[in-house]
Amino acid sequence: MVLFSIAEPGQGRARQVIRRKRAVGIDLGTTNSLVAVAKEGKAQVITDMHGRRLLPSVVNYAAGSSPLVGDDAVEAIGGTTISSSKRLMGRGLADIHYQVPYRLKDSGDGGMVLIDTSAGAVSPVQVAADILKTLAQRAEESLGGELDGVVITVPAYFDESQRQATRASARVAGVNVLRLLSEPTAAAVAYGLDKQLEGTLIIYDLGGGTFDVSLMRLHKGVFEVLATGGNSALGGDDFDRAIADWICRQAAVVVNATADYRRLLRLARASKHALTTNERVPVLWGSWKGELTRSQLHELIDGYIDATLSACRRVLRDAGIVATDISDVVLVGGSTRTPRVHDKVRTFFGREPLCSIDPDEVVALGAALQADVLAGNKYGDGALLLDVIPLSLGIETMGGLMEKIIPRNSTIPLVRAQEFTTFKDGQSVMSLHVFQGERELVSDCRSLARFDLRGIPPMVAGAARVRVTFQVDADGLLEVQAEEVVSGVRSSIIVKPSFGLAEQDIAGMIQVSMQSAVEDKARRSLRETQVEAQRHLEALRTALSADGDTLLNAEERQSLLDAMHLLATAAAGDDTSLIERLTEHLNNHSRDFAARRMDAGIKAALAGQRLDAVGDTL
Amino acid sequence: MAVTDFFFALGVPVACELDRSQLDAHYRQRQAQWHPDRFVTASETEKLQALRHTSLLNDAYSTLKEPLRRAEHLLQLKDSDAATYPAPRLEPAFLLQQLELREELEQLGSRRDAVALAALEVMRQAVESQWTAHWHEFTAETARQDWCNARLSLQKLQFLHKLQEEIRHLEE
Repeated sequence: MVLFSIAEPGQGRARQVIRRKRAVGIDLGTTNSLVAVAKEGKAQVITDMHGRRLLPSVVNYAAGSSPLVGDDAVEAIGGTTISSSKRLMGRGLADIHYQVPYRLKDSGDGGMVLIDTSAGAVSPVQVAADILKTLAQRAEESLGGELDGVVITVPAYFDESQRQATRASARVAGVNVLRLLSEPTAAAVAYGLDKQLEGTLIIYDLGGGTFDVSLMRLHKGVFEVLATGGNSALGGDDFDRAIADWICRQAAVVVNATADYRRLLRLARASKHALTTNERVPVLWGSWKGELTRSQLHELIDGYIDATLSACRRVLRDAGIVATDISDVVLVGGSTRTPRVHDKVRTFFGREPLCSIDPDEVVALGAALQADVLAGNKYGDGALLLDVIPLSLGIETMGGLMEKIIPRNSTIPLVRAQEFTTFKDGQSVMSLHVFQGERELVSDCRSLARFDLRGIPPMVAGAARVRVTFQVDADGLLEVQAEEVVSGVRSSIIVKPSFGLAEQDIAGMIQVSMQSAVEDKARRSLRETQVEAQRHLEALRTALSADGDTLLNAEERQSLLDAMHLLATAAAGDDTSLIERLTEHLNNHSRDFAARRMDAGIKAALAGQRLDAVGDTL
Repeated sequence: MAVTDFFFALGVPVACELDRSQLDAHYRQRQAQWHPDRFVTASETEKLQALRHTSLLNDAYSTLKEPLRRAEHLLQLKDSDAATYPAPRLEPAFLLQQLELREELEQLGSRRDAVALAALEVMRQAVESQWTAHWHEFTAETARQDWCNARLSLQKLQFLHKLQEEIRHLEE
């Protein structure tokens, strides 16, 4: 291992950039995604051409056409519409224990789940890539050129395979990732908390379906994530469901149909929103008429909020910190708009939480600021963000036990090695199975990868020394290597997590994406040619009806009409070059007619006649 | 394999007791210089070097900031003869006491009432003062390079640390 290097630190930076780098931050959310850019130290959301800030994380796939993304997908009729696919990132079919409004299927090799669409099976990585592509395009249009790099945010609890999947989708989308940044860190950066000299922060992020709490310490420009916790199945949607169930109980009805339940959830959400400003709201469901008060709402949702506070307590305990040590509390996620959440968080930490930045935008804004720093636009000015891994990494040992090699909340990057040995005489192969999780039994942890170390020379049991090295980089991505060290025979292997897609899958997706780029271009040029042909035909039709009888003989007239007919037929088809040739053909035939019209127009003008016709021609 | 000297890596004196604020400051200053984020536009070789070096710094820092792990690392570095002579045996009195504490803990764990919680707190304090006493012994032994006794003290500290963790676990 290199202890000290002779190279000057940061020497790579000598190649300084002249042009300001185009770097943006992207919040790839479960419900909505958005992109932001930093200009002169201030981050702002990049809107689309209609001024919309949020892009619904929804993609519509239909056979024979390019996917629709965002609001277009939400409004799409036909095809298959995919939403909330972030939950499927890096997950196998066996991991999905909840209902999704589309058909899922196994990839066949135990890899990531696939979504069945009318345009064929689609991986969640592809869905994320299509969203990323749309946001990158939005940014490129706004910034006037290709992006140099992006910072993509991921939840702090995202495990290995989920991070790998996010990386893969960026590759498919053709965007250069500067860093995967954890969402809470981005939120803290957005509030400029990294500019403080010192502090201990809590980032409380309550979204629609997930809760995430992170504890960070800041000291002279180094920003350290001390611990993270949360619950990936707890959020504002639970509030809505609790209210919906309450309505069912009060109205003594059972709502079974999906469409009705969706309507009921909308009613629940609307009531929840109304209670942020009113003490009580009338609630109507079918023939039932009732009223929901704020205190009733609190009874319904307090259990969920308390569960988030327990998670906060655990995180504080993990880091050996008490609530009164906290200097700032940052609220992130739409559900923190609920006043009860705000109040309970304030009481728990004993201080007013920060919420002046839109909780839906704060993560993207912070990512944009960090992208600006990483791209080298603001070197030396930005704080250093040190991250931790959210879950322990280890390998399976005898008896199905999890041997942790890197404990959770370890600061990354990190390289750690541990030695293992053979348990049979003459054993030449050792199977290594990599897991992530906190439980003692591997059956309760997530399997990341499995590989064999072969070619171990024959030795008695326990004599071989297999060194397994785990390397986690600054993005939290893992590489595992194994080698036998006793015999000097070095065989090592690098594993890619099984849920993180095989290399050829990614390559395939990139190829398809490039192909479709070519197709898109061809489609555009066809459209342009068609429009051009129609414009010609239209102009000639007008001219013929005005002067066709006077300026052309019957034969000339017929040959022109034939050429027009040919082009009109071709323009209805999709053969671009044929349309181009026939347009040219028609031009040749009509040139004479056009010249005669010009002459006639000039003559008429000189004679002081038919002024309107002259104006028409010129 | 030679043991990497974490004290050297973080530029702090090789000792049992260390100045935590100096350790923190040196760690942060080195991280700020070497973190891969500072090398985003650098060559692959430089990136790899940055990754390796910050990994080492993280390893060193997490080891040195925990007293027990620091003690273990110190012995690993200094007690180079460890493998050549037999491990010293802990005195039976200490082992017996540990056994009793453990039994008591098990009983408290199964009760979980207010009285048990109070007893747990008493026990926590008792274990803590034992820890402090053995820590001082260990510090003195390492200072006079009495590695054999230092290893004994370290074993005791390991026992007590485990007990402390279990008490903490029960309190939750």
